[in-house]
Amino acid sequence: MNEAAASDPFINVRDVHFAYGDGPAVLNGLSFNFTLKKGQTLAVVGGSGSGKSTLLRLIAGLLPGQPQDRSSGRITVGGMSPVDYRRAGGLSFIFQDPTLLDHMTVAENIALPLLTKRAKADHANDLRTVMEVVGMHAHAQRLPRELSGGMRTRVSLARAFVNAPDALLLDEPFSALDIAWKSRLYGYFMDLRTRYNTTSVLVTHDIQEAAILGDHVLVIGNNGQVVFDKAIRGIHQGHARIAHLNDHLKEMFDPVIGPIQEELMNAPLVGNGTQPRPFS
Amino acid sequence: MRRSIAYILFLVLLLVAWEYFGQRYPSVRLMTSTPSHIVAYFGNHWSALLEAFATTGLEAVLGLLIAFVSAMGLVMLCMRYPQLFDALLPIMVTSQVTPMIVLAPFFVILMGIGIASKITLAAIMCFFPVFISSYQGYRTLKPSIHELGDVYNAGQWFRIRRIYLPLVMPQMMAGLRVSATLSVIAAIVVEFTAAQVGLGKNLFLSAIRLEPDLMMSSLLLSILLGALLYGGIALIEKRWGGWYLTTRQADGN
Repeated sequence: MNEAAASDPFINVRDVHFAYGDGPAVLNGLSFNFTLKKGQTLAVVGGSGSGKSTLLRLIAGLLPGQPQDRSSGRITVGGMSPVDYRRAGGLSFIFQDPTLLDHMTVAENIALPLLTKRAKADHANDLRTVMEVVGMHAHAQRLPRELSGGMRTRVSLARAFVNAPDALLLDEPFSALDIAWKSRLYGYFMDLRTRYNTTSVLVTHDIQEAAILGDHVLVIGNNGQVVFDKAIRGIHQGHARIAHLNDHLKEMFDPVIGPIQEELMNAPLVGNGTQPRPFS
Repeated sequence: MRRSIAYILFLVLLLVAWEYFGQRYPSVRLMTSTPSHIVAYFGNHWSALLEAFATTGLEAVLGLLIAFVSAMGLVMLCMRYPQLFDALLPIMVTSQVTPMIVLAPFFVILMGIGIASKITLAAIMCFFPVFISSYQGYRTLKPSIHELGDVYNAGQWFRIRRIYLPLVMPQMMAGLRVSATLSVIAAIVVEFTAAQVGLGKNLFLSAIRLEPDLMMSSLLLSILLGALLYGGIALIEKRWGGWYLTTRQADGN
């Protein structure tokens, strides 16, 4: 990639309006123009109903999904229309719900992006790598319904990186996890995005999460407009290596969380041990 | 264990009582036969009874199979073209408010008294439960499952084969269990109307000829047939449905 291309806006969102069917407008003239360097993360923060998930789906080219959907404005990703960018095959998406296929094993779920028709063939090593990074290689043959919430999110994280994506979109995938799991998953995410030099857009309602993971934070206010738009020195930038961040997080959280977690782990499971489903 | 012993004891008691009252009161024997008479009847007529059992069984199984294949074919088409389902729905509803067994004479007139008319009605009756529950399973998939296919550019055939069909299996099997029983009912009802051989024909004749031994042995074979079909489907589900039948749960780490 040459210098000029590197400074071109990676994602360009210009005066976007969107409404599902004949419902009220979800996005009303949102505009931003954004240059992300390869490997950087844009964190978009907004409250419930601010249209941040909708924005992410527009960037992924998943919307408009119905002919009745009303949309206007212009979005480009890597200089292409979102749909073209997605069809070119370098995109991944992490959903709010881990969205695992219950009939497939952990390994098959993670390999899914490699099985579809536009997948590149040379990712056999990546499958092993991503499973090891998130620590799921020992559980490769288990079924999704045997996994806890944190493990399911790890599987969905591994799946998103298995095709070595150029761009990754995250729809607050960590929001349902407790703080101990969050800090571990932040570590896995940062490790993987460095390994594959993936440019990512994270949508979240959690300002702390945005500050920890983002290189650039953008806040969508209640008026549907960008009210804060700033490159930040993410916590991880103070450290040369991701390992340091993990240490940092550990240092920050362990004194508090360690004893609690130990207590929880040792406590007998309540009832029949069934995990409540986070998004049912 | 204790429960099954109690169950067997109850069954034995019932048979003994049945035998006793049958021997004691001829009117009881005339209506319900007795266990010893049924066993004797079966011994003397086993080849004819087995032929009837096999014929009705073949009709039910073929009807069920045809219904299953065509229902799943149509489900796959509707997954690809959802508009098709909306177009078909009025026809489906109409066909469901028709009490299907009134079609029995129609198919006998149309196809004759051989097995074809029985297979046809069995197939028609078995089609709907498999189709509607499978498609309902598809419609209730989470939207993110579809988006997952979009993000990774999965082709339509890949989605149907590797994602949608396996995920609707629980609902499909539920539909099949209903249809398994319906297939036996359909075959027997058409045999009531007209047949060369079959359990339904036996039952019909036993009523007009007042033959309780024939009636009871055919009735027991009908129950056996229904149980075999139901059990066969349960076995298939046990073999391929492990991913949703499993009871192992998350261990929390």
